[in-house]
Amino acid sequence: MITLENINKTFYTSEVETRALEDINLTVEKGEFVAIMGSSGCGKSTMLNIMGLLDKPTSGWVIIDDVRADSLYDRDMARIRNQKLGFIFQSFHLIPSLNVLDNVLLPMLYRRGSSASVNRKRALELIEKVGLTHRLKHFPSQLSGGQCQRVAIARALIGQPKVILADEPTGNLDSKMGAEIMDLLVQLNREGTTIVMVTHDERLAEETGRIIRLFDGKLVL
Amino acid sequence: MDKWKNYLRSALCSIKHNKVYALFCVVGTAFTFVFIIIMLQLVYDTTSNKAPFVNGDRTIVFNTFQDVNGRNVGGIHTESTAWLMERIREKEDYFMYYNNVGEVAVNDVCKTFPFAFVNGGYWKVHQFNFVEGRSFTEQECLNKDAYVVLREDMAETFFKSGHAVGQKMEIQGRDYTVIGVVRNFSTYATITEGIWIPYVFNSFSPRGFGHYDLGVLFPRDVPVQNMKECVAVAVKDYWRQINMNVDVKPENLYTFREARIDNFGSDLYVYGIPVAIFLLLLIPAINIVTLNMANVDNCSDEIALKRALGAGLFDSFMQVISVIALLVIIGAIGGIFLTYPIADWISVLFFNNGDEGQVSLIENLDYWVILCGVFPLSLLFTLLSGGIPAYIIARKNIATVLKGGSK
Repeated sequence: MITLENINKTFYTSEVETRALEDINLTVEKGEFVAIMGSSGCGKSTMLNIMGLLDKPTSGWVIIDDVRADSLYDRDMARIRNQKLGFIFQSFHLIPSLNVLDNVLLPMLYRRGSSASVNRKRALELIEKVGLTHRLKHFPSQLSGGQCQRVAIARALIGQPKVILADEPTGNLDSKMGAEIMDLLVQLNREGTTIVMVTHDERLAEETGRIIRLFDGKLVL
Repeated sequence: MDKWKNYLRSALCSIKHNKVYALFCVVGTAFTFVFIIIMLQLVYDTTSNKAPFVNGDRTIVFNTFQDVNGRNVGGIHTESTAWLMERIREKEDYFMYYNNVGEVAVNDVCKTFPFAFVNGGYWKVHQFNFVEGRSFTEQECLNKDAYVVLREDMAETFFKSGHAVGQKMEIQGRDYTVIGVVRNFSTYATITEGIWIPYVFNSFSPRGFGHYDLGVLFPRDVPVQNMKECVAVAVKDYWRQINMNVDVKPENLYTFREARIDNFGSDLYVYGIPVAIFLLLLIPAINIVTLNMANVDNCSDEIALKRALGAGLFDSFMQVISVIALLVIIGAIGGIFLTYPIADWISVLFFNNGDEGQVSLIENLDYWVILCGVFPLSLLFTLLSGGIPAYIIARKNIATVLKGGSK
């Protein structure tokens, strides 16, 4: 499903050169729930961003569904992000000017040939699934952190992606809300969605099928 | 459609959160476009065949000539005008025009005004819109009927209340009856007089030139070159008859429209106006670009998120530029509404002396100016002021921007 081959990532500033990832080789299979763990600054998010085509590796290959994706044109990468990947961020990243329904529908604006009525019906189903039907017309500023993350999950699912990439999805939530979100992700995985989640919470990682550990930009076996 | 709705909604939200910036953009754009519209309208007024100069392309005009040694030999003598016109082949009609300045008295109030002596053909060659009454005919000129036609602003100046037609006024000591009032037109188009009287009353005093400016109207199907050749042949024949060696070449004759453009200087239209418009667009655009660059971070998060969700570079570019486009559209519409009052203010301040009525710099705004001038220039202004910031925002690294985080 997603393969990283010999991935290296180095950040350059005028004074410092920082190697964030070194020789990363990893394959995530269909239906897996993978947790990426490691201390702060070890390269977890960088690896997830490269997997999600949000950032480019300095060297190495990113293969998604047997297609080398890291060297595609921007519009082709955008199409893969839109059709095959779903993103959940630690800080939710909802659009403040859009209500819950429109935030969930957002990825479908960039999908050609999709039917507005079908999209809307699916968005309503997903919003019901994450338990926010009563908040349909609310704006992000009117929701709690947990509710915002539920909206973000619904948004990640609207395009029926093959993989969900979650970057510390419970990082900004209290333990109760975090547990609720984790339950939702586990349920999605049981329904067949592949999930790659960055976390540094050992208890949450234990609920996943596989734990990958990173230390100073290298995979720890 | 949903995508455009989304652009619009994001643009409105951005404007709501940056009111001072939005106000600056709208006001700046409005004033920029006021001056651009005035300039474009004046260009249109002076170069197009709009009323009253609808026959500008099929009228050949001439006044004075030079002999082969380059000396000015004057124009066609008044007594010979009819003789000359008979010799111009294919002609449809012709006008005679002589401008003068003199005392005009109405109801015991006497002031100095410019006025023009014209023949009956003048009203056929130029198509004035009459607010009331009518023009005088050639036969009425020959009958020495003392009629006068006024421009609307002049009628209002002389006869503040009620209709002007039928009223009496005294010009250079002779009584005239107002027979018609024509709608105002931009006086910057060429004609500055607002009073027209029959040429038979012309004593050529105080200017003393014994000839008129002449214009020959041809049928629509006659090519311009043929018109010029017909006039050149007849005029050359006239000078030969009076033993003057004047070389009249067709290429030295102008249509009425060419003469108007030449009067203002063709270089002005080719270089001056485009450069002035470009500068008018560029200077505020630079200001807006500077403001936008400072404002870039405000919308970077949203753009990066949309790119993460599948928006391409073009979508991102459109997202940013839609804010500017919306502000420019509002500003340009504001500019259109501000054009009349500002044009009036400029006219009063710099051009009108108060006595000659109140013809504005711009009498009416043509939809061609809006459609072919304001609309494309709005797009250009949007691209100038929003293109660079939009490109910079759209090219930002998604991961780096999203790392900053916002709700």
